[in-house]
Amino acid sequence: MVTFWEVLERCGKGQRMQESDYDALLYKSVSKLIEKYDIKFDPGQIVPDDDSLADRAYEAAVELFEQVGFYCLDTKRVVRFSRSEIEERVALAPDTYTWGEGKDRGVTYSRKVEDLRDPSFVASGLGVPVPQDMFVKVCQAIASVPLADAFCGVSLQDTFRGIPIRAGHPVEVAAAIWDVSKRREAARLAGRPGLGLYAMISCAESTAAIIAAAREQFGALPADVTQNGAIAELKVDFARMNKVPWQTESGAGIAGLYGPLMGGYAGGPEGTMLTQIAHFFLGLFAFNADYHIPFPIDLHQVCNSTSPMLWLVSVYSQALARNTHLLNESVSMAAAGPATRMLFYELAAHAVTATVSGANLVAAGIARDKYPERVSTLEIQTASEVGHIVARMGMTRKEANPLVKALLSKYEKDVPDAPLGKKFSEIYDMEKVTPLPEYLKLYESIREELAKLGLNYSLL
Amino acid sequence: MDILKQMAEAVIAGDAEHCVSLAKQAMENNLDPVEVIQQGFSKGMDTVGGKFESGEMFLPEMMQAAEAMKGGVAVLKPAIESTGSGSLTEFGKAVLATIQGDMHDIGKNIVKLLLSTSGFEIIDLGKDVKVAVIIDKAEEIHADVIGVSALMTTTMGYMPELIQELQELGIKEELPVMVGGAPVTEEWAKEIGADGYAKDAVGAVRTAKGLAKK
Ligand code: B1M
Repeated sequence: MVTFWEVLERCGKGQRMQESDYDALLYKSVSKLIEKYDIKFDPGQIVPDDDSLADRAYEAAVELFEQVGFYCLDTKRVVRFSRSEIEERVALAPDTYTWGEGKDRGVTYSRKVEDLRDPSFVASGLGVPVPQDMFVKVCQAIASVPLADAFCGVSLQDTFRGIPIRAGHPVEVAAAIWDVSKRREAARLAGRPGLGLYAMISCAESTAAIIAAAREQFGALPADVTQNGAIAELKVDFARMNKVPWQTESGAGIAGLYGPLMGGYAGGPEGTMLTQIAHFFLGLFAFNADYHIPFPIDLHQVCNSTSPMLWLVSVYSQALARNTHLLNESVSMAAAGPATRMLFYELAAHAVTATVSGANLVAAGIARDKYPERVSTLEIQTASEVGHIVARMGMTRKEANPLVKALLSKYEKDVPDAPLGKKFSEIYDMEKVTPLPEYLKLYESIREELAKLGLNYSLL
Repeated sequence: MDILKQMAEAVIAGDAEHCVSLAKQAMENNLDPVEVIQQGFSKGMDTVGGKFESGEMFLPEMMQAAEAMKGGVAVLKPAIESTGSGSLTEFGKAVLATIQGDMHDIGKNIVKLLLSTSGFEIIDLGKDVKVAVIIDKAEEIHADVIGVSALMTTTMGYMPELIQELQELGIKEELPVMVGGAPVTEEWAKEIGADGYAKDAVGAVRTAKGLAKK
């Protein structure tokens, strides 16, 4: 197997080229491959039930990765792998990961297309910034989502001890330590002290901050996971890879994080879908990833709830589920904000699509994943319930397609002007850390609506 | 179809060869090169920008269109320089960077692309660029505008630092700063003393032109 050390050597030896030439090479390669493998987005088939499409997508992605590998920003070199090296690395990758400990343990495992087993579910605020005084309460609310197998909090906003939190600054390290200990406190307050963290730190990303904070004395559990992000598209640098030796030797879980942008360097939904799969290979080679966190988004809408994006999610997930046992923790990214009907629909559509396509679920990026305090829980809970119901009903892709289209018809036209929704403190009783009655009512009414669309809630 | 329309179409199609041959034809016909750029190639690029924003075109296609336009413009350059009828980079030099600690560069790259076809010479310092490096470069080349992008709350904090530093060095007046990126708002830009802000790449062109003209 090509080891991480061999990869590092290749980073110094591969073909040298400018970053912009690599971007052009990627586009040229994906354009040719989508033609060669006859891959075309079909707005009528958001959840295609064509096995051959999924297999062609996988084949094309392997060929893509053979052609373009990944780009190392530090050495300006293209790092390539042969087909047999890719196949061997994929075969040797983990097919399960266990988060947390004790009775709060959660397991994520490799699922198949139309798998009857529940998807694993991560409740997440996905890095949305919140001020220090709300941090624990928001994390507690997230950790309380009943079906969560692991959680991730939010991101600490602005300042720590009155000093602005800045990447690479000493205060980032201090904030990271505080962050981890408060997340663990939040899990305890949620009554789930052993609930695992699927991504340990989100306001801090530097290696120094992560290594400093990921200690049991600060509340990190041994299986809590640290993540390494690839840079779009298919790029890495040593500042991110330099966590790997520590992660590997300390036994910390490693998640690869990839957010390819549809409309960007890989072109449309077809090319971005192939690039998404190729990122899984990048994660194995460059990060030694145990599991993978893909969050493809539309570059303009910063969400993945539109038709082409859900198609992309479905096809890349099917391709991986049919051809590998890689752990695919598919992230839903929504345009609408908390406590809007639209947000519920968007997350439900993603949950149906991803679950029947063989993925596990992470929810969610809310309100285009950038506005402070735009984080909520009952929509996330709905996504977890929908995912479980769909699997337990044995829903097929053929059955999922009209359901997803029915959901899309309720919101897709509103994506460009999606409502921002409410702030967390407007939908939660901040003393009790429970949803306010109005918000609960909205959740109940959405449940009824989803039941009318055919979801069998009695299976929960 | 008149030649200016053909030029616009060639840019939209990203056809560099056609852009070059049309530019040559324009020279042979003694057309005013500045007008040719403004009414021909640039019009095409405006359309491309609009199609990109609406999702009809993708970033690589926009990059190809920009390259095609640059090919055509290169043919016209000697004529512009010899007649002194204007400048290809009438708005001067813009130093661009994604700020220290931040690897999110796609937004900045889109801004760069549009500025580079709108009368700016671009010096792109890349991503994760230290405040001091930005200032040194801007000073060294006498930039007309500095453009910085930040995507994280943990990196936007370097923007006020940049502005303060310029103030302390006494060069803030000469080096207007435009800021942007998802978490940056107009109010915040004002608060930190930035000279300009833009929500998106099309707005960035407008803002940068305004700043460079001052
Ligand atoms: C000079 O004048 C101007 C004028 C206008 C300007 C301008 C400059 N710059 C931009 N504009 C404007 O014009 C552009 C075109 O219209 C627009 O540019 P934008 O850049 O806004 O828009 C792009 C075209 C599309 N949008 C984007 O590219 C960003 C989208 C989101 C989802 C995002 C992505 C895709 C990525 N990410 Co990251 N990422 C998020 C983002 C959430 C969000 N809503 O922004 C954000 C920014 N990321 C975040 C995080 C936490 C991280 N990310 C990371 C990594 C990545 C990827 C590499 C995987 C990928 C980046 C791809 C790339 N090369 O750029 C890591 C950081 C790496 C680093 N050190 O920078 C990491 C730390 C995750 C991790 N733990 O590894 C969050 C920051 C939280 C915070 N504290 O603020 C985040 C808000 C998501 C979240 N909620 O968690 C305008 O803003």
